[in-house]
Amino acid sequence: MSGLRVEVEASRGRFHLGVSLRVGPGEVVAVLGPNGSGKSTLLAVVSGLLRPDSGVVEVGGRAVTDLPPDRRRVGLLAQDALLFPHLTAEANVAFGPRSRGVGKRAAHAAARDWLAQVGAAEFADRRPSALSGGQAQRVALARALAAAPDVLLLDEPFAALDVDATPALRGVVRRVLGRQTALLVTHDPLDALALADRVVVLGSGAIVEQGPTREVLSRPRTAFTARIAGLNLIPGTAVPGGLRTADGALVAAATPGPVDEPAVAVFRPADVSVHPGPVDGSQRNTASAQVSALEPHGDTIRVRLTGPGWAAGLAADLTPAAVADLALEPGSRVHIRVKAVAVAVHGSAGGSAWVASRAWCGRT
Amino acid sequence: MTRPVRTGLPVLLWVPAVAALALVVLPVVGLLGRADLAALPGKVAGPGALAALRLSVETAAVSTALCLVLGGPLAVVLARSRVRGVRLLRAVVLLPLVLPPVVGGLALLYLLGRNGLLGSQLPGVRIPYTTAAVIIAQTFVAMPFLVVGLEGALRTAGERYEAVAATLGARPWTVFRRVTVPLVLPAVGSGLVLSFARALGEFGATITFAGSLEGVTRTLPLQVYLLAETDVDGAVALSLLLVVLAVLVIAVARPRAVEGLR
Amino acid sequence: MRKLALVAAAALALAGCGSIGAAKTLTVFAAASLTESFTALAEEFEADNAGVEVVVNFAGSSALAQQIGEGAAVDVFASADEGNMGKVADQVLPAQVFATNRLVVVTPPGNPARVAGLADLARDGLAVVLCAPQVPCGSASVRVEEAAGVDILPVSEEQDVKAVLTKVRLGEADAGLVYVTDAQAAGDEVGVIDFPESEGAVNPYPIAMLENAPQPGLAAKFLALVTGADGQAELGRAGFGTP
Repeated sequence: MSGLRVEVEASRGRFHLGVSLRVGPGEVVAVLGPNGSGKSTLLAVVSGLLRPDSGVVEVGGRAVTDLPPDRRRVGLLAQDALLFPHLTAEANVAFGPRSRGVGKRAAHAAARDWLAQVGAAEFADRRPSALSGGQAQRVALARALAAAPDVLLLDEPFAALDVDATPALRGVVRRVLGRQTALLVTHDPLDALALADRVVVLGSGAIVEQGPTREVLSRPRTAFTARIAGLNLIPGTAVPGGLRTADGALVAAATPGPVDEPAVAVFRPADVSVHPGPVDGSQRNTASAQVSALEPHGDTIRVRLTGPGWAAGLAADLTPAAVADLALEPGSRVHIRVKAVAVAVHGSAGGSAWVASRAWCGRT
Repeated sequence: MTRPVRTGLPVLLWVPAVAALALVVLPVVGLLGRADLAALPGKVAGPGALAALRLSVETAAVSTALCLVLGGPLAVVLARSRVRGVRLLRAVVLLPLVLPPVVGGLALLYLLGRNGLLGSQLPGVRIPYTTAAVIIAQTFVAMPFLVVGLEGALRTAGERYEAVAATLGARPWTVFRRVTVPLVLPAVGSGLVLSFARALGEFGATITFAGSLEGVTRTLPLQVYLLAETDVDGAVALSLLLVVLAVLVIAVARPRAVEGLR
Repeated sequence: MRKLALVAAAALALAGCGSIGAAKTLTVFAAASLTESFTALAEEFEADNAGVEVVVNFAGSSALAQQIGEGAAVDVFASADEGNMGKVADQVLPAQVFATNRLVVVTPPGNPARVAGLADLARDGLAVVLCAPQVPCGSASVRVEEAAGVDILPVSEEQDVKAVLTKVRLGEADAGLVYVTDAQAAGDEVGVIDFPESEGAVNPYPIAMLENAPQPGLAAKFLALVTGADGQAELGRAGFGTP
């Protein structure tokens, strides 16, 4: 078993990536990050399609920084299956072993074995054009694993699939990854929760958060992580009893953080209540806001908010009936309230986290 | 009778489409109408005609092979290389398409002729008036058909499959052989057919650069042109032979090359 | 049908040329080698005959004969050889020879291969270009070879005199056989070597008026001009011999 170590500086035009990242042998690390945060640059550097300005990429203790992709033993499963259209599914899977000098018979035997493992044995003789998206992605997974990579890169492997096909394939990936060292780039917290041991969050070319998957997703320190975890996040400074925002407002919290340090207040959209008129002034954590968008979200409707104070960028989950009662539409003026008991304050990484979340907010 | 309904072929397209077909087919019909069909076998079997036919098929085959061996790699370089100036090169490759063939023949003379840039550096080697000159002239005019078609196919296919093959451990040559080539094989096939057809019909560059001598440089088109001077019926018969040959090549080679892998 | 179309096309072309203010149009088909001399003679004829326009169609003799065979409306046909005149014998009045042409050896300027005469053209390693035997200048070459007992192995048999001249001019051939008139027209760009054997294959140029000439009177006058003293002088300037 071999791990991955990446310590590189790389640039693409004006974009700059600087990361230091380790994936232990057999570990699966999920890389989360908004568009433009450097995920694809990171993958290109690891797979060998992009040469870093400086630094080192190590696979299983071997420095591969200056090696071309074909000598790295770094596999890639991308969004699109990219099966070779002129080869059958089985020949596609046998391609890796054959390229490494395995005899034809042995390579095809291994290919059939891998196809069986991903539940695609019955498609062995089909051409890619005769496969559905989910079937093709299974074959592509078998092909990537059959090449016996030291590290497998998964680049949003479910993004191009039907919603119906995703859970089954996610299950297959979970099963076959086993002790495979892997780096998984995804937008979906479910992918991270189901497949990854650890999460790394990229923002503007740097790592802004990392840790065990559950911990990072339940205690986000950046707006981006909060958003993909489906949580609200207000940055500021921890004070006794809550959090002080940059413009001086106090957000009361039941779970306080380390006093006087940069911190974030975190709460779920379901804990935000929306009212047509001013809420009783004696209540804490109230603010005026304006509805910016309404999005279906499971059985509820997610109301996105803007406002002059800390209400900016928050989300509230309401039932469709409540939305109808309040006659909400983009532009509606409302008042909101968050129960202090639902708010938790965590220390944040400080400057860089704030920059990252700002960068992301600017894009929304 | 239930029939599937096809959507979306505007009726208006039929008019120019039929006109286009007529423009291509009717002159050949005219040729047929002019031909004395009973005398045809005799004309075609004449000694000059057979020598010309044989020379044409042989030289066109060699030219087509040269187009593949030289033009194929050129297409790959044009499509894949990131070297500066490649875009300009692409325009240069089209030159033989734009140049009148006679001018192309003159250009070849100025290069490879006795007083040419290169030819003058090769004492004792004469290229004009040889069968090699016919092949060079044909390759010159036919090459763009293969290069342009193949380069377009390579660009359409993109580099993503090649990148995936590399991550699977395939060395560059293996990627080229097992991924790049099979992906563009249909384009190679149609490029070869087009090049062969162009080489077979080549006239202007050949007569200017290689001259015209029976069995050495006088290909079928040159024979037709010469025959038209004295024996129009013979010229028509040979033209029909040329047409049949071209149709045969396209009919036999093209579907296999284009659809063979789909 | 085909003939009809051709006639229509020819008539259209002629009408287009001839209808500008001229009362009568005389149509002459003449071999390409006659271009300079017949252009001058046509101008002279127009000057002498007010209200008459002469339209001359210059092309290869075989192409002209073919067009006449297809029924083109022509008054006078001047061919570069008797063979092509023979092809339309049933459509013309008896022909008469009005000029002769003969072959000369041409070399690139400076004559790098030092060719001295016809016999040299059979030399080994010499690149000689001839006209193909199927065309008039080629058949004349064959006759010259036979008359002189010389066997030339050309590197190429060209379609016409101009192609032979081009290859010689470019230095891609050491020598070629062309008509003296063409050699003269090429000026300094080629060297010219006369050889006595060319008298053994003098090429006669026949001229005739057509039986159904639209302008028989003018046609007869034009023939008289060409065969008369003025015509012969003009042809002589271009290098033609007298019959």
